[in-house]
Amino acid sequence: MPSYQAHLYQAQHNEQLLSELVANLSYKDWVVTVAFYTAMHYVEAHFFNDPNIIHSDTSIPIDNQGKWLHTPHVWRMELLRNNYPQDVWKSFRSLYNESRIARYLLSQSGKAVTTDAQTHWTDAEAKDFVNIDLNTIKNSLGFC
Amino acid sequence: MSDSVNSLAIAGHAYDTSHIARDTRQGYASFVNLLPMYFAGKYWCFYLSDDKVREPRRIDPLKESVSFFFATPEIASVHIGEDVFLSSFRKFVSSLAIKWYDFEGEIITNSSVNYLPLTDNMFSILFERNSFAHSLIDIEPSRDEIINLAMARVAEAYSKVEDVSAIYVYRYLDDTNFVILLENTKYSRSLMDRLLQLEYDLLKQNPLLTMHFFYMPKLYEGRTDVIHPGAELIYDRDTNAILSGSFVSSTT
Repeated sequence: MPSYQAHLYQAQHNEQLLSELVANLSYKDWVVTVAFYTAMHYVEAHFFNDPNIIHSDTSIPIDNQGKWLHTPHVWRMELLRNNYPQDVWKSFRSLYNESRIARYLLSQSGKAVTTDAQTHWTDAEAKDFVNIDLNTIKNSLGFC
Repeated sequence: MSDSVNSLAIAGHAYDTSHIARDTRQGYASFVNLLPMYFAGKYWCFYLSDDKVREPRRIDPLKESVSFFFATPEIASVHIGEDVFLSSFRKFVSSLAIKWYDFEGEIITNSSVNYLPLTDNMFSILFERNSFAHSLIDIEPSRDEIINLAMARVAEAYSKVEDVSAIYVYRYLDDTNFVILLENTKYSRSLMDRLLQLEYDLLKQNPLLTMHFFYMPKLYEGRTDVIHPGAELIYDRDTNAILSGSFVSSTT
């Protein structure tokens, strides 16, 4: 299980890449994807200092056979919704949804979809994922 | 007698009794509150108020329930217009009549979802107004009943967003996953804000379930390209129907 420092390091590492991606916006699908994973590591770093959570994966409820009842992504969003301000949940949800769409923009089941990342998001919208959503999460969690 | 057939039989009783209820405001309130829950959940209802979920109750039998509500003074404090009630009730009875003749008494599955489009006003009232139908007998609802109610709420909420073209649901682990197909091909922050606010409210309304939503713009050629093979269609704007039991393979 990664430590607080490990999550923080990875978040900052991702954010450095994100600043390069935002600089020319030639890979908007990766802008939103890296923005989401940056946010995820900031969130996990914050979870680490909460004794009731520590890490999303280790706090997922299990059934009688010890199997997870929820996927880590879904459970992480439940933790955010139940323990953090709504704007943090909303920004994280937005990034997660768009990062999933970024995958569909490449291909799904071997079939090309009808548009690509460069046309699906405008330059301004791609930047907003960082300037609005990621920064909302960082600010609220005290990482700015 | 199956639950569905039994429900239809009781619907006849409810319709007859409505003539009596027509002259009393408390009667309108009783039916508006009672009938949707009765038929939606096969005797189950759920009561939500101010984010607090009260224990689900069972209403059975209907005759006793109706008598109970007519005799309860506090019902009079519910102010529901006569026109709203009668309009909704006519649609409701019509929908049941159609099913009755179509199926000739055969088992009608998932009736809770199928008649939703015809009872929109009633469901709006059910979901948004206080109900007094909760104070009868305590019985735990089944998991399927909780999920069915959540599905109905999700379909009801998102069908009001013009950009939503269809809604699918599938289960994975203990998660109930909804895929909301959108009409737009480009990202819209304002639309996402609206959808996420609906999601937030629905999550609060359904605390007994872990639900997840995915909003998919129209970036695909066929729905099978993006929908889980086992997903169930619960809303389709093309047919203007809230459905259940129809699978993705038959809808593309």
